Amino acid sequence: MRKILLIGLLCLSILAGEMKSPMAKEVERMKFPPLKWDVPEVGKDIKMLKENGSVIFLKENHNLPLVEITIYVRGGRLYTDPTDRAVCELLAPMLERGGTKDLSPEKFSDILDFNAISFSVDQGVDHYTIRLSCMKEVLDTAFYLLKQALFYPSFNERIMKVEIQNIKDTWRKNLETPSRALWILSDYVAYDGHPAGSLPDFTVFESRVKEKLQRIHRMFFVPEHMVIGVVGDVTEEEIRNAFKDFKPDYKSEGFKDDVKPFSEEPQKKVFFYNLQIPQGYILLQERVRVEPSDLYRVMLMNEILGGGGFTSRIVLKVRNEMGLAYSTYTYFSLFSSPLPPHFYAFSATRSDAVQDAIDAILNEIKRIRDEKVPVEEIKVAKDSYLNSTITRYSNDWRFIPRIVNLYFRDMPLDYYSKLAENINNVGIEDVLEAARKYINPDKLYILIVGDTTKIDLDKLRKFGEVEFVNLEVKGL
Amino acid sequence: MLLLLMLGVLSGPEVTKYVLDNGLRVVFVEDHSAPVFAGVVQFDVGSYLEHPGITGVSHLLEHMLFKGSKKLGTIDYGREKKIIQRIWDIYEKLPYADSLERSKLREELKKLKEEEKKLVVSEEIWKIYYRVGGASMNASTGNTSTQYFLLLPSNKKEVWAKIESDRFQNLVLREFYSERDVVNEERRMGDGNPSSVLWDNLIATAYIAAPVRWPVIGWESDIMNITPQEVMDYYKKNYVPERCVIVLAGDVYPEKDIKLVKKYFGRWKKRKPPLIRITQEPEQRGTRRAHVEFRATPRMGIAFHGPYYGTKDYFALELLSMILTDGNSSIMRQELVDKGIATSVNSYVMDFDKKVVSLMTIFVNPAPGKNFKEVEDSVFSILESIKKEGISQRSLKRAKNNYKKDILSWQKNVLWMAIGAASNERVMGDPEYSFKVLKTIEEIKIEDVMNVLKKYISLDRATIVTLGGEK
Repeated sequence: MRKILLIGLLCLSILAGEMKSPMAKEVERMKFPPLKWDVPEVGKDIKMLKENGSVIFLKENHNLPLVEITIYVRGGRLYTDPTDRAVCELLAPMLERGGTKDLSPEKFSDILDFNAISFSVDQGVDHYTIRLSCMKEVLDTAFYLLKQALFYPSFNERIMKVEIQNIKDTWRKNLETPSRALWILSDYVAYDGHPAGSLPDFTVFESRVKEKLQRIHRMFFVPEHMVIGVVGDVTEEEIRNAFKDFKPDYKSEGFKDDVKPFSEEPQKKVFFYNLQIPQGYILLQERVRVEPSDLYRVMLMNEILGGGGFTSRIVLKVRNEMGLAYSTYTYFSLFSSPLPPHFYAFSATRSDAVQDAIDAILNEIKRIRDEKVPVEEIKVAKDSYLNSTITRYSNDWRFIPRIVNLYFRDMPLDYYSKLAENINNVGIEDVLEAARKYINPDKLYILIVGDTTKIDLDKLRKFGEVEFVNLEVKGL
Repeated sequence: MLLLLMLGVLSGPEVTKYVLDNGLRVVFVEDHSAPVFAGVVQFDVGSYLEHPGITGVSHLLEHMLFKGSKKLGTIDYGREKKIIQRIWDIYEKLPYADSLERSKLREELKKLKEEEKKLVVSEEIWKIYYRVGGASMNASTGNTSTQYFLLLPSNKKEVWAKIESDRFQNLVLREFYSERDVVNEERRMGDGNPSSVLWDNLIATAYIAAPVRWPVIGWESDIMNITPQEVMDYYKKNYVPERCVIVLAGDVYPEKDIKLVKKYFGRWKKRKPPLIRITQEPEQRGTRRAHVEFRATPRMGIAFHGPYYGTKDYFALELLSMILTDGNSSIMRQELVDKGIATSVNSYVMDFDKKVVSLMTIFVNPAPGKNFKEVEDSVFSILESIKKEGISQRSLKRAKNNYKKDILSWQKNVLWMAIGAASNERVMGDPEYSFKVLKTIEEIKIEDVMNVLKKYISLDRATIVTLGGEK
C-alpha cells in the first residue's frame, strides 16, 4: 500500500532566491494537520472481475442511488481500411439509437429517455467509448438496453439516413470551427495517408451501408475487446449476474491489431488552413517516442514548460506578459498508443501577432533546453503533482474511467498510486535531459488555422515553406 | 439543518448556514466521503450591473482578482504602487500625445514595466494553490453572478480562507493592460465561433432594454477603453459582503470551520450595498428578426421571454423544454431531425435569477436543402399542434424523471454541490432550494405545462435570429 503524504505537518520549504510575497511567506509558515489518504487500488478498493472475456473494474459507492458504466471497445478506423473511416464513425450513433433486434429505434429511445438513462457511444481512433448512467432502480432495464444496443443493433435504414446527414453536418461545422479544424489539420498532416489521419470519404454511404456497418460492428463488438468500469450503488454479485450473459450470439471475425506503419514525419514547414476568423490558431508539433523510463521526466518538464496551467513558462510569457493569448499550453500525447505520440504547443492570438506568439513559444522551448530549471520552479511543479493527488483522484465517479483507460493502454494499474513518488524522483538534470531529448526545434513544424488576408505570410516563411492544406472531405 | 427526502429517492446532503455580522452568508455542505473540500465565493455581481461604455467590466474584474493584493503577488507593494500609478497615467496620456511625446512615453513605459517585473510575482495565487494541492481552480462570470472556486485537501482550509478573504478586500490592479489584452483575445475566440456569434445576436435582439442584452465578455471597444480606475470603482462598489455567499462543501465541520471563516472573513467591513435598479424588459409586441452574415453552415435561434425564475410557471416551462427536445424520443427530435428537416435541435430556459424575465431558446440547424423559412414553419407547426393535441402523461413523467436524475447526479461532485448551494442561497436565500424544487416539479400537471406553452410560446412573441447560409 502506498501512502500519499499530503504535506501533513510539513512546512513548505523556503527556498533562497525565489520572489515571494508576504502572504506566500505566511502560507509557508503555516502548519497543517496530517492527512493520510490512499489512492484507490485495484484488487483492494477496486474489484477486478472477468466475465466472458471482458475485464470489469468495480468500485462500489453507495452514497447515491446511481450507477455509471464506462466501456472501452477496441476497434475503430485505425484497424480498418481508410475507406471505412466514415462507416466507423457512423457506427457510434447507430448503436446509440439505430434500434435493436427486439426494439424499434423509437421504442429503444422511449425506454431509455423515460427511465432517465443516459447512454452514449463515442468513436475514437482505436476504440469506442460507451457511457451509461442510470438510477439504481432502473439498473436491470439499463443492462437490457446496453446488451441490446451493443450486441444486437438492427441499423434501421431510416435512422441511418438521418445519422449520415448529421455526421456530414458535424464535419461541415468542424471545418468552420477554428479549434476543431486545427486538430483535424494536425492529424491530417501528422499521419499523412494513414487511417489515423485520413479524412472521411462519405461517398461510401452511396451503397450497402448496412452491410458495411454489420461487418465493422461484428469485428469489434465482442466481450473480448471490452474493458469495463462500473461505479455506484451496486454489489459484486449484482454485477456478476448482470455481466454473466453479457455476450452476443456471434463471434468476432477478428481484426489485425498490428497497425499499418506510419509514414515519415512531415518536413519542417508551415501548414496553413484558411478560415476567415479574427485570430490565428497555432500548433507547433513534432513526433516523439518517449521511452518508458523517461515518462515522469517528460511529464514534469512539460508541467514547467506549458502544461502546468497558469504558472508554466509559456503561459506566463505569452499570456501574462505579452497579453497575446487567452489560451496557450503545451502537451505530450503520451497515452495515445498505438499512435506515435506527439509534442504540441498551442496558442490562439490576433492575426497580426501570430509570428510574435510563435517566436515567444520557440524562445521558451530554447530556454528549457539550454538552461537548468531553478530549484524553486521544479519544487512548485512537484508540489503540485504531489499534493493534488487527493483532489484529482478521490472522486470515484471520475477515477474508475481512468482505471479503464490505464488497463486499455497497457499501463500499470498502480500508475496513479505511484505517480507522486515517481514525479518526486525527477531531478533538475532529468528535466534538462528530457527537454533536449524530446523537443527538437529543428523538427517542429507549424500548423495554422487563420485568415490569409490578415496573417502576414511573408513573416511566417522564416519558420519554413508555407503550404496551404485543403481539408477536402469527399461526399460532403 | 435539514435532511430532505424527496420523491422517495432523493435526500440532500447536510447543510448548515450562518450569517456573519458583516452580512456575509456562509454555507457548509457536508460530504465526508473523501478528505477534500470545495471552496466557492459567489457574488451577486455580473453583466446586469453594467451599462454601455463599461460592458465586460464584471468579467475583466474577475480576471484581475487573480492578480493579487497588497500582500499577495508582490514583494513590495509600497514601491510597486507608484510604478502602477505612473503606468496608468501614461496609458491615459498616450491617445492624446503627439508622435514625439508618444515615443517618449512608450520608452518610459517599457522601463516602468521592467521595474514592475522586479516586484511582481506573477500568478502567485495559482502558485500557492497548486503547491498545496489545488485542483479545478477557476472562476466564471455570468449575467447575474461571478464565482471563484477550487478543490483543496481538507487540511488546507486555512490557506483558502486567508487568500480568498484577502483578495476580495485588498485587490491591486497590477498587470492591468496585458490582462485586458488577454480578455480581448478571449473575446476574439468567440468572434470566430459561429455558435457564439449567433448567441450574442439572439440575446441582443430578444432584449431591447434589460441589462442582459450585451455579451458578458463585453464589447471590444469597451474592453479596450475601460480604465483601471473604473474597474477599481466597480470593485469597491459591488464586492461587498452582503452581496456575497461563500460555500464550503465536502469534508467540512460547520461548528469548527465557522470559527476559521469568521477569523478571516469577519474582518471584511460591512458596507451598504448599492441601490440597484434593473431595467425590466417591456412586453414584446410582435416577432423580432435578425440575420447574421457569417461564412458558416446555417443555424437558427428562436427565443421567447418566459416567467421569472422561482415561479411555478418557470419550472413548468423547463419541463416543456425537456419534453420538446431532450432525448431522441422527444417531440422535436422526432419531428425535425428524424424527418430530415433539421440536423439538430436543442432547447433550454435561461433564468437570469429573478432579476429579468427568463428566456426560452430553441436552436435548430437546418438540414441541407432546407431553408430557414421551412425550418421555422416546421417549428411553429409542431408547437401549434401540441397546443391543440396536448402532451402525454408519459412525456411529462419522462421529463420529471430526468429532472430528478439531474439533481441526483449533481451530488456526485462536491464542487458542483458547492456551486449549486451558493446559487440557491444567493438567488433564493435557501442553499437547499434545488431539492425543494423537486416537490414543485412533482406537483406540476399537464395543464400547467399547456398553460405556459400557450402563454409564452407563439410566433408573435418570438425572436428569430439566423446565421450563415441564405437569408
